Amino acid sequence: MALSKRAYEGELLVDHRASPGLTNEQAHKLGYTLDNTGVPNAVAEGKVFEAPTMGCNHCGTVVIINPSRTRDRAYCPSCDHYICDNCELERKLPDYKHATHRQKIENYISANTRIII
Amino acid sequence: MAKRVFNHPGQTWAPTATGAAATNWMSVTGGSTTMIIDWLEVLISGTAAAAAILATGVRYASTLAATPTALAAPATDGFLNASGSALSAPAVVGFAATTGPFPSAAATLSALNLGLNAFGGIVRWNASPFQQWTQVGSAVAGSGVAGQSVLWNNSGPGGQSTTAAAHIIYEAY
Repeated sequence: MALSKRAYEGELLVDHRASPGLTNEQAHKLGYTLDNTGVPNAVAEGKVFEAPTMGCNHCGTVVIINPSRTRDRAYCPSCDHYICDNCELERKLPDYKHATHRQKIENYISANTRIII
Repeated sequence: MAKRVFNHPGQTWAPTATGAAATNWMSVTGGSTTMIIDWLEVLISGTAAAAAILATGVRYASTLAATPTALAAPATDGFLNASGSALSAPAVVGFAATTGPFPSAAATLSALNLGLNAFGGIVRWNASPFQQWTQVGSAVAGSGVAGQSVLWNNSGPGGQSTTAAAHIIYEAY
C-alpha cells in the first residue's frame, strides 16, 4: 500500500499561551523564527506553534518542515522518501552508494552479532 | 519491545555546551551492543517562576556518562502498558553520574532543538512511525550509530539555568 508522504510526519508543538514566550532574537537562536521569510514569531507570548516534522530517511535527522520553503524539498527516488539537505548533497556525489538509516543500523547490528555454530 | 516512559517531574537544568559534560540531563542508553532504541516523544514543561530560556535539545553522546547513578526518586521509568515484560538487558536511563554525558558537537550527527521559555512554556515533539529518533548499541556516537542520547539544556543558543519537568517515551528492541 502506498502511503502519502505526510503519513510519515511527526509533530512539534510549542505552547506559550501561558508564558511570556520567546523574543524574536531568542527564537532565532533556538531555530524557530523564519525572520527573513516574513513569517511572524510563532513562539512569542500567547502563541502556539505547531509544525510537522520529518525524519530524514538516510541519516535519521529530525527536520522541522518550513511551510514557507520555496525551493524543492530533497527527495530520494531510490527509497521514495524525503531526505534532509545534507543527505541530498551527499546523494549527488559521484561515488555515492544508497543506504537508508535502517540499512545502516542493520549493517551495524550484523557486524556486531556473533554467530555461534 | 514495549514502550516505556522515563519521567522527571522537575529539576533545575543548568546549561552546558555541546562537547562538554552535561550538568543536568536525562539520558537513555542501550543495554547491549545490538540494542535499538526509538525515541517516540519528548515533552518538556517549564516550571520556572520567572521568564528564563530553556534551550533543551537532544543529541547523541560523544562521551558516555561516567559511573551513572541508578535511577532514583523523583524520576520514574516504567511501561506505558503495565503488563509489559522487561528485556533481559534493558535500556539504562538516568539523570545523575560522576561525570555527565557529553552531547555531541559533531556537525554530521543529528540534533533536535526543543527550546522554550520555562515560565509556563511547553514543548512536545512526537515522532510518526518510521521517523523516530533512533539510537543503536551502547557505545559512543560513531560510524553512523550511537548508544546514548541526551536531553539537556544547551548553553550555545542562550540556555539559562531554570526549572522544568520532562518525559521521554521510548521503545527498546
